[in-house]
Amino acid sequence: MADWGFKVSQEGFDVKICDDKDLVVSSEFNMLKTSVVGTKTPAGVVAHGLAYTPVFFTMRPFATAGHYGLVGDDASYTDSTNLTTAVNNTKYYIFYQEFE
Amino acid sequence: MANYGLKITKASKDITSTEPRDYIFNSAYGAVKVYSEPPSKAYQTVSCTNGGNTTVTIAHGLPFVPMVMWFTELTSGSGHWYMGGLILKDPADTNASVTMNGDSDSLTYVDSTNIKVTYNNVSGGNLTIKYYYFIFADDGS
Repeated sequence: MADWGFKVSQEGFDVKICDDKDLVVSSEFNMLKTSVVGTKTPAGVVAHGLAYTPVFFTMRPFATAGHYGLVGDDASYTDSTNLTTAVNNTKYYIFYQEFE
Repeated sequence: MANYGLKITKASKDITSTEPRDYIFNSAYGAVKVYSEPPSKAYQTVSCTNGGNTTVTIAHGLPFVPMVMWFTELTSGSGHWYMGGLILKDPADTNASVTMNGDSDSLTYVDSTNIKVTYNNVSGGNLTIKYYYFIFADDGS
């Protein structure tokens, strides 16, 4: 890669010599860019409007108010048209990123 | 959006592109942010006594329910790490291990104060289990 770009290190690390894992951001590495964020009520389809099947995160609520599952612990899925959630009030993030 | 910010394209892509995937970074688009990882970015361990549940509780310190990615080496020493709490374990991963129940309302969940993850050990012996997590400063709103 050409010697250009920018990077920011975490506190306590020298940006010129630290490991990549100790950077906050580096233009050498792709980042997940958020397309849309929301809560799907009722459960069902969210048309993402992208021309590909995007990467997503979901977080489902439990019956107990204020309790949510870990990322990925639900039956939500995506295809080239929609994100489909399985549980009412599931929170979601859809990214400008296909599976490459 | 006001006409200011920072954007970096991937190699061979033009900076005037309107395709988000052409960018490594573009301040016009949000990004999920890792708020917290384990101390020293080292995996943590929990001792799971045979014959019952052991719960790991982490106070996340955020004023909302954050997104959390959680990884566990269910079989101690296997090097096989699984994500979340609804786990379909590799059938070849047959040594003594803990199990999880990620769709239980009271065993494994995130709320506005804590992350609670429960391991069940009926392997016949006590187990020390490794785990790692990413807490995001993002709540889906």
